Formats: sequence, C-alpha cells, structure tokens
Amino acid sequence: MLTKVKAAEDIKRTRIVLAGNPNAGKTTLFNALTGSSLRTGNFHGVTTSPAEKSVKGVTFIDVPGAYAFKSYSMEEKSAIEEINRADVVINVVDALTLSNSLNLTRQIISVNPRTAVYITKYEALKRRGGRIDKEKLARHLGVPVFICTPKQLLSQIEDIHFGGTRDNTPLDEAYFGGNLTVSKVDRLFYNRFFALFFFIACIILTFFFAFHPIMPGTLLKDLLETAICDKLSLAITANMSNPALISLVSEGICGGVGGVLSFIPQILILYFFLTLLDESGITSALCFATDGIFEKVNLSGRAAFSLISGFGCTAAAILTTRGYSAPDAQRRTIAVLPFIPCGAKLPVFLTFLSPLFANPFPVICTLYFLGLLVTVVVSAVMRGGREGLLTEVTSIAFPKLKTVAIKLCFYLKGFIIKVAVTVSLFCIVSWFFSHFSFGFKFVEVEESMLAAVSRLILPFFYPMGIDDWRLAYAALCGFIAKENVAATVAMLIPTGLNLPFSATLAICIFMLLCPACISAFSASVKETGWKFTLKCVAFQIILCFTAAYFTRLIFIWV
Amino acid sequence: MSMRVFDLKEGETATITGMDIEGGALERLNALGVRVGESIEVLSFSLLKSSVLISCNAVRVGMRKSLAKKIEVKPC
Repeated sequence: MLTKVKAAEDIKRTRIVLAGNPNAGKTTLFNALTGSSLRTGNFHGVTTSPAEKSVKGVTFIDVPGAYAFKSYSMEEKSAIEEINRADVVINVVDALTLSNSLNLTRQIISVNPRTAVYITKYEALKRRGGRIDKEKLARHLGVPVFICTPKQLLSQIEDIHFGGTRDNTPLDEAYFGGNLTVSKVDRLFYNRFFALFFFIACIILTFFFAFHPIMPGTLLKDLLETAICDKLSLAITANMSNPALISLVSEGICGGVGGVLSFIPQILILYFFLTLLDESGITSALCFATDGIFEKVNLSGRAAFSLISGFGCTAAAILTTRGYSAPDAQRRTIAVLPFIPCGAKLPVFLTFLSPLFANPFPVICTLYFLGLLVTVVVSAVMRGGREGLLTEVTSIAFPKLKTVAIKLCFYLKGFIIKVAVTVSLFCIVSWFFSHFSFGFKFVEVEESMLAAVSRLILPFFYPMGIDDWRLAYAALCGFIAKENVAATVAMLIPTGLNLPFSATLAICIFMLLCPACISAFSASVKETGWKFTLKCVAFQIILCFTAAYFTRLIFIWV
Repeated sequence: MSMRVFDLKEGETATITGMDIEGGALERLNALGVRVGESIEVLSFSLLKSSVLISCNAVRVGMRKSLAKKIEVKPC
C-alpha cells in the first residue's frame, strides 16, 4: 500500500534533509534546489555543519557526509541528529560508489522510512561503462529512486510516494559499476612527489600571474586603482566645496575603500587557483601525499585541506577542522591557521612592498612559504594527542568551468559587499577620528583624536623601525578585518609609504604572524572555547612583535 | 609469516584475509567497502611512507601505516 506524502498544508512545515556519504554531491544538490552558493569541492569533508534554507515553504537541510550512523568524527554526529528528526530524507548517492553507499542508505531507511534515493554522477558512471536500473534498484531498496536533474527532483518532491516494499531483486541486476581501473591521471596525482611538486608549482605560477609587474593581476590592479582612487574621486568631488566632505570622499571613501577594491584582480587570481584545487580533487590527493610531513608535526594529511583553505579565509579554514576525529589535532590546527596568509592579507603585503619592490613576486612567495614553515614548526612543538589518517581519496576530475565561474562570482560578490559595508564603515569612522580633535573641530590629521590615541601604542612599533602613528594604527585595524589595514594606509597616507627596507620587511613579518581577524577569532572560540583562543592570540601577539623586531635587527644594515 | 597491506609494493594486488581492528576505524573501513574477502591494489605511499593508498573496488582509501599493518592480506 503506498502512502502519499503529507497534504499540501503540511508540506509547508516539511523538513527535507539531504544526507549521504561524503562527496556524494549533497551540497551541490542543495545549492541547485535552493539557489544557494555553499562551498563545494571534490573532497571528503567540505561540509562540516548543517545548513538550511526554505524554498516555497519547504525547508532543505544540507548535512555533513556520514559513512555510517556510528560516528567517527564530530561532523557526522550533527548529520545523524538531523536525519533522526527529518520529515523526508533525500539520500544522495554517488553512482560511482553505489555499492558502498547503500550501507548508509539501509541505515537511513531503517530509522526514517520517508527516504528517497537521489543518484548523482550518473553520467560519469555511464562514461566508465556502468549502468543503473532505477526501477530494480527501487524494488531492491523499497524506496523511490531518482535519476534526474535537481529541477526535476524539485518538481516531483511533493508527489513522492513512500511505503513501497522491498523484494528480492539482487543488487547485481540493478547496478553495474563499470570499469573500475584507476586512470593514468589518477595514478599520476596519487604519486607523492608529483602531487606536492604540482601544488608548489601552481602556487608559484599563481603568484606570478597575480603579482609580477607585467602580468594581468598587477596591470588590472593599477587600472582599477587609477579609475577609483583618482578619476572617480575627482569626478565626485569636482562640484563640492566643503573641505571636510571633499576629504571624506576622496581620502576616506575613494582612497581607503577604493584602494582595497583595486586588489580584486589579484585576489581573484588566487581564488581561481584555490577553486580549481577544490573542484579537481587535487586537494584530496595532496592530503594523502603530504601525510608523512604532517605526521611529523602531530597532524595528518587532512590538515593540508585546512591549510589550503586558510589561503582563502582563516575563519572558513577553522570550520574545516570539524572533520577531525581528535580534538587535540583540531586545536593544534586552529592554533596555526592564522600563520597562513589569508586572501585579505594579500593587499596588506602589496601595500607595504610595492613602494620598495618593483617586482614584489619573490618577496610574496617568500612570505607565503615562511607562513607555512611557521605553521609546521608551531604545530611540531605543541603538546597534545595526534590525528590519524583514514580517508577516502577522490578521483581527479577536470573542474566544470561553470562551477568555477559561479564560485568566483559568489566570492567576488561577498568581497565587494564586505568592502562596501565593513571596510567603508571602518574608513568613515577612521576618517572622522583622524580629522577631528577631541573638541570636534576639523583639524589636520596630526592634531586629531586618532593621532593622540595612536601615539600611545607607537612605542611598541619603534623597535621594528616604525615611527609613524598612522602605520601603528593601521596594523591594529587588522584585527577587525585584514582588508582594513590596506584601506587605512591608503586613506591616511595618500602620498604613499616611504619606509626603509628593514622596516618594510619587519611590518610584513608582523602582519604575517599577527592574530587573525575577528571572524576567525569568533570561529576559534566556537570550536575551542575562550581560554584556548585567548592563549593562542597572546602567543601570536608575542610572536609577531618579537619576529618583527628581529627582522629589523637582521636587515638594518641593508 | 602473514603479509600485511603495508608490506605490499606499489601496484601489487592482494585479497584481505583478516582485519585486527576495532571500533570506529573498523566501521569506517567497512563502510568504505574494505572488508575481509575483498581485493585491493596498492596505489601509492605518502611522503616519508607514513601512509598507504589502496584501491578497493571503486573506492580509494588512504590510511596510516599503523592501521595498514593490522590488515592481513594474501597476494594475488
């Protein structure tokens, strides 16, 4: 006897959970069903916490992947909880590993009979000679099976019929996996030397495209900077007469905010590289290949995924550590992630290096690899338990350019919104305090409230060769958002920096090792608690100042 | 003396004859299809040979040396 799913008015309260093995395609389906842009990747462990969104009265919940109900990691525990309380479960099953996936399918069905199976990667299965008989599979499992586009699934969700019975149809009749031979491309990337060499070569190539003076990144950045900071500023202020307003628009907004926006081409090149890594499965291969290095510093290859994520955003990278099975390893990784230069630090380094280096490419590379080195060293000396490695490694696949483009657009939109809101607000507030005295008179910058307060912290920066309160203030702004540093320098020092070589390197080292932004701080508190996070911040503050002082000492003679 | 997964060379295939593993790790391996009776192929070892990558049916599984040494195999 078939039972129709709840009546129309009940469907408005329906919670539909998308559950399945890691890397089955749950988040990709979630994004397609809800119009979202949650992070996806060809890697096991991208989604680390449930996400939900309502569409036409139906709430979809995307949960982290699980192999079985007896959880091995922290992220699987949250998936199990959601499945238990779901009205309908869409079990997302990877056609390429269907036989193994049905282990979880059967567990889900036994707990929640309102389960339907949605098959992903069916085209890839057909390419390797496999096939699925949808009706026979449905009879084998006793639940509806869908092989269709997300749009077609969405249109059929209200009419799903549950309550079918299993029969004795053997799985062999319903499913044939095709040619399971490991491809030559996969074998190449599974080679421990090739994966690491390829990754290092890609990083260097990415930095070359982004930072070399004759490459698109730098050329486009210069064009954008001229357009926003010079031409747009002149156009807007042409008919203004109020000096305070002219200063706010040209220095505060166009100078500060525009200065950060001009780095978009270079940041996008970096994110393009990270997205390709994510979508291709190379991150997965790299995690395995580098496990030996991470084992020596009390981590596992899984840390490679977190560290690579850190090149984009430290806060997002902290969230990836939920997939760890050992809390000590999670804490260790979170403690070292701030030393990986995030995407927002890129404009900071370029702001300080560009006046001194016509070609900052070699210095940028050095800073990034130095960050990795510090990460490894700090992890090695931290006490606590270790993380093992037991993970599925994905096949290498050429990324879909449409997916890459969508992800880049999503990132670009988020960056522009962040700059337009957070950085703009910060620039306006900074401009106000840097142009008004304590008596609220419009004054020169050197007589402002900001100057008076910033001079109190300047002594901490003297040993690194910084005697300008504006740079001391800019350095501290980074705790709110690293983008604020470049914006503040552009706003308060519109004529450009003129630091000596040793001081330039010292402040770059300071920015490399200083605590991450408030978003990363919040993520760390959520995952590890206040006590551990504050200890890490204290250590990072001591380290960044000490290292900056030493850097100046070493290079003062140059 | 019985062979373990970690004793195999790259490219060698074998059948799993025993797994001296308990708890979450065993459940994860079973969920990935790595069970007694299944055939595996060693695809690669990680840098510093801390882990091994095996292929078992359609799945590729990376595991530490300590775990791989607990899986008994018979070369094909």
